[in-house]
Amino acid sequence: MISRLRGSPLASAPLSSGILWAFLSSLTLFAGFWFELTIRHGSSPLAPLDTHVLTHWLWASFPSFSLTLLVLSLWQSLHPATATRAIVPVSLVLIGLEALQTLLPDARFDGLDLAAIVLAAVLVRTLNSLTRPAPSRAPSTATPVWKTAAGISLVLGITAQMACYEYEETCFDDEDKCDTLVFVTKEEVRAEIVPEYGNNAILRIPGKMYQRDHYLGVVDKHRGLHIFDTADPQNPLRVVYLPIHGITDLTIKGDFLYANSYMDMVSINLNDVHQSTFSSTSVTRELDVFTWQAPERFFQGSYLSSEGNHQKRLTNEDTDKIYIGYQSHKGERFLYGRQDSDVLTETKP
Amino acid sequence: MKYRTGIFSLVILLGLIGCGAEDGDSTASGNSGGNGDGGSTARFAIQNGFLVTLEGGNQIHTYELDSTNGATRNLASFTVRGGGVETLRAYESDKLLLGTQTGSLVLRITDNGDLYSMTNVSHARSCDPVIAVEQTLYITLRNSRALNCGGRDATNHLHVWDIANLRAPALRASIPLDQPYGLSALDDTLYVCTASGLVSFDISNRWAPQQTAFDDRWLCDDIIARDGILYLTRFEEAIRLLDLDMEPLSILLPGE
Repeated sequence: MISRLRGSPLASAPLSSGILWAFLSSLTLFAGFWFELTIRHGSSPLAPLDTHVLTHWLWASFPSFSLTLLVLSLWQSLHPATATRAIVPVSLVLIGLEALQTLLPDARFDGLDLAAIVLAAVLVRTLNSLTRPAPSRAPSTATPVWKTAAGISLVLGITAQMACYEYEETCFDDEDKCDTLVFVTKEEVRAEIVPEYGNNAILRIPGKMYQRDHYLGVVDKHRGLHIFDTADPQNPLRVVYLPIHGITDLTIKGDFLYANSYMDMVSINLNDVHQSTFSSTSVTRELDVFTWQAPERFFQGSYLSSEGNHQKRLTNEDTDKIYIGYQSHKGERFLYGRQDSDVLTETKP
Repeated sequence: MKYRTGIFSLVILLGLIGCGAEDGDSTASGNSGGNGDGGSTARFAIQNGFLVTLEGGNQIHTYELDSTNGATRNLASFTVRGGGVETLRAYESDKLLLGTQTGSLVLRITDNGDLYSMTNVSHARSCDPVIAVEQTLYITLRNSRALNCGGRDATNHLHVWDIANLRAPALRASIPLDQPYGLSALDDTLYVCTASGLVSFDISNRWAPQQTAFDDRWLCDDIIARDGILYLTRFEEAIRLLDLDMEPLSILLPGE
């Protein structure tokens, strides 16, 4: 036992290296999740995960897992003598390849892939210590285990990679099969606000309210603001509809109404609204004070698309565009994560 | 009372920015901004003459307002550590109530528009609009309805906290409700939206709400009780006006 320890420190100090492995893999797993959650999705790392998202993530990282398993198992069965020492360098090379993917067009770095590689390496390392032959026995008795493992991971790996290739063929090779993002430009968002007086406007998505005096402001989510006169509460009258793109929240102080408009803060002079003296000077915008959500947010259940893999991996580099949803390759339109083709007037694929 | 020692903790979440002893001289009222009310799920508030907004789950921005032309000027931005902030509401003359997924946070806004944390009332992970009546906080905790609300195991309660001493908030009551969400108080009555209907409580004894009515016709996400009218919003579905006896006055439906 002593001599074995001396011969191969990583392989033969089961306790300390086990702890080290456990520590490293937990760290990588945590880092992977943390990266996905906070950097990519901007949510709290402690927030419970949507199961669809989780399933998608795990599935997306499965090829990395099985590929690592395959390479390491093959090594174990072909050259058991060096196999244990090879685990770390092989994993590092695979991690390096993973990182290189960032350079490919339409690809992006996936933190969980790293976690998958480490997990597979830990699995092999654990199997390795479990099936390690006693010093007196011949080393070849262990190899059937690794041949089986290699076989299984080969099948799994090919299946998973096939799924990936199918995904790339549907969208990457045929533009017609891609879902497309729906966006508005900042210019459109900042178009002049023209109040619609009278009762012609239509309330689409009731949201938050603001009540003052005998007026009730009702947010029409992402579209605008309806102001009702509720002096007769049994018969509220729409006084005016103010189309404010991207509105979800508002408050009022004095004569001014303040609301968000995607990335801008908008203030509107209510005196001008009520006295019908509204002009372009009645509106003030403070530009680019809010961050609009990443497009991934619109894809329910996954960060690609709601069904299948028809969405090109998205880059949000065009700062002039505000992504508000997507149109599936079948023509259905999902805005703000919900299927609705009649929500907005300003949509375009 | 049994939660008292176990649940609350005093945690300073924000950096101590502008922590000098400044006196707020605001005339702003205690509800969510100006002299109107934006409900308990609001994310914008007016306090101490500033516009305060909540973005995402953790970004709080303060804006200086120009009362002549309405122009806003972003003064400062703050990040609430831990995130999960859902609602923002003015409180007293210089404070803000934040409803977060793990508690309620009281911030003070200085005359410079700086914010610092005064106290933090912690509870199990849930989603929670919060309102204050004098020095009592009413917090609704719910689990599902939306994502990230603690899942099925989260608590569904109305919590009543005594914050007369901000350094030692005390839980005075915990009332189980069916996924309570928005809430509003008018005089001595507290109205709470729940997943099975609108509930009202007599809160003349602030720390011991007594249920007075329940109406399963009215599902709502938020409610504003003002001037003898209950304004209910059910997000994406309807706006309703009720009288104080919960009888319908009018309804505003999508497509109308």
